Parts: sequence; C-alpha cells; structure tokens
Amino acid sequence: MKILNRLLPLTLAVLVLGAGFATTAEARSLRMEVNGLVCAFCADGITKAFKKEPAAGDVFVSLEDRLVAVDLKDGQDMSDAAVTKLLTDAGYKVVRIQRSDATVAEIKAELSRE
Amino acid sequence: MNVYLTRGLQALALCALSLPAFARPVSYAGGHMFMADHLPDMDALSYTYSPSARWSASVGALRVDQLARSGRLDLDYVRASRLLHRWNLPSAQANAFGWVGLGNARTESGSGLGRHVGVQLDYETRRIYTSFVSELHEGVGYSNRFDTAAIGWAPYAHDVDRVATWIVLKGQRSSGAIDDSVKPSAVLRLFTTRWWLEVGADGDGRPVANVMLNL
Repeated sequence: MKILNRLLPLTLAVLVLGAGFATTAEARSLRMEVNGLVCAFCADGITKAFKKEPAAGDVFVSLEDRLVAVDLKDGQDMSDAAVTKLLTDAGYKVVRIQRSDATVAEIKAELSRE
Repeated sequence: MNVYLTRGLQALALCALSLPAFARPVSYAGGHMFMADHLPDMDALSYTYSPSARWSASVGALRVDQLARSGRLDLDYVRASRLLHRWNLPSAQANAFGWVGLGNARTESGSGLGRHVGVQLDYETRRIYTSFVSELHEGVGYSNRFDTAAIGWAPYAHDVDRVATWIVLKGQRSSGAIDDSVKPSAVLRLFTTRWWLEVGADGDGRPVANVMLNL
C-alpha cells in the first residue's frame, strides 16, 4: 500500500507531463498575433517567407484579426525563436505565438463564422 | 468651383504628414516590383528588387519637363534604398525610408552624372494613409527638389482576399520647375497582393496614373 501511495503521485506526474508533450507534438498549426499588418503586400511577404520553411504548409493572414496562421506538416514543428526571427526579418513584430490543434482551414472557418 | 477645389486639395495635401506618389521603395525579401508613373510633367519607369525587407536595389528611367534651368531632364539611374526604421503598432504601421541614386542625366545644358537622394515617411492603417516624400536631384545644369505629400482614406477596411480601395489627395512641388507652386491631384487607388493601380487628375484636369506589379 505504501508503495502504491508513492507511485501514485509519480504516475500522475508522468501522465500530466506526457499529456503536455503530446499536445506540443500534435500541434497542427501555429497561430501568431502580429503587429503592423495593414496591407495586402504585408500578407504576401509573410506568406512567401513561410512557404520557404520545410515545416510549413498552408499559410493564412488576416489583417482584421492581426493573425498569421501556418499549418505544420506531419511530425514537424518550428521553434518560437525561428518563427520570431522569420517575422522580424520580414519587418513585423510578433506579439504572441500559440500552437493549435486546429488546421489553417479550420481557423479560417472559425473566423469567418465570427 | 475649380478654384475652391484646387485650394482645398492644396490645403489637404499640405496638412497631410505624408506620403507617396510612390509606393514603398523596399518590398519584402525576394520581392520584385515594376512601376510606371505618369504625371503631366513627369514620367517614370522602374524595377526594384529587395533582397531583404531592409534593402532594395532599383534601375529606372525618369523624364521631367518644364524645368526652369534645364528645360527637360532625362535620367537613367541605379538606386539603393534602405528601410531606416519601422514602427509596428497593433493596427498601424509607420516607416522611414532613405535612398541614394546615380545615373546618366541629359538636359539642354548637356549630359553627365546625375545624383539624387530621397527620404520617405509614411503612416498607414487599414483606413487612413499619409505620406511625405522628398527627393533632391542634382547634375550638370540642374538642381531640383521634388516634394510630395499625400493623404488617403479607404471607404472600407480591406483584408487580404479583397481589393483595397483608396481615395488619395496629393500635393506635389518641384523646386526647379518653371511653375514651382504646389500642384494638387486626386486619385483612386486600387490594390491587391499582386498589383496596384492609381488613376486620377491634377488640379487642371490633366490625367495622372501609376501602375505597380509586385511579384
């Protein structure tokens, strides 16, 4: 019984951490809040920059929502540092980076309903 | 009516902090821009390549008529432009650009090296646009400074999948022109991710136009 009591917290910790890693590993897209998005040329430059990244799939830019969303290819990811550098080099300021289980198509559909 | 319209356009243009008769001189990394500009006393063609979002290199040709000292200026040039600073705000963007250029200048006084230097300041949201451009040209027998102020208003906030529509008022002055007063113009500007088109008229009803392709 003592052994069980000792193992239980450890088991729970492993499960919680495991779930966290799984969420990161299973992220299907990146959602970035970006400052300075005011024109179609801005969106075009950002789209072309992400298209050069091996991990990036579809790209969606919404000026209205100050949002850049990028599909991640299966099993691939981009670090926050890499994303920040890409957008900074493109001339914009990154406010927030989130990983999402939704695809770019789903994000677009969600925004169009709002 | 025409007098009031002209004075109104002049006042608005002069009050604008503003910007261009030109698009931004630096595009995004890997961007190619082709531009053609027509004003009653000026025509310009240029090609610009931006290796990064900070720098660009251009080649172009410029013709300016009605200059006081040289009559007409024809200039073929190369130019380097730099994004000096960008302010990225939540729903706005402001920029400061600078550029220098050299080329072959031909006037009624002769031909030789022509040099120019310019600055551009702009502030833009999805509904309001202002800019100011100043460019100094010097060479054999001529020295002219071109100043352009512009203010624009968009009737709706565009997004990437829609054509952006702007109504832009400009005031332009050439210090070396026979008539060096501020010349107003009003244009309708349409643009998407790939192209930009401006058409309108100056205060005397003469056509002005600007076309840009972005690849």
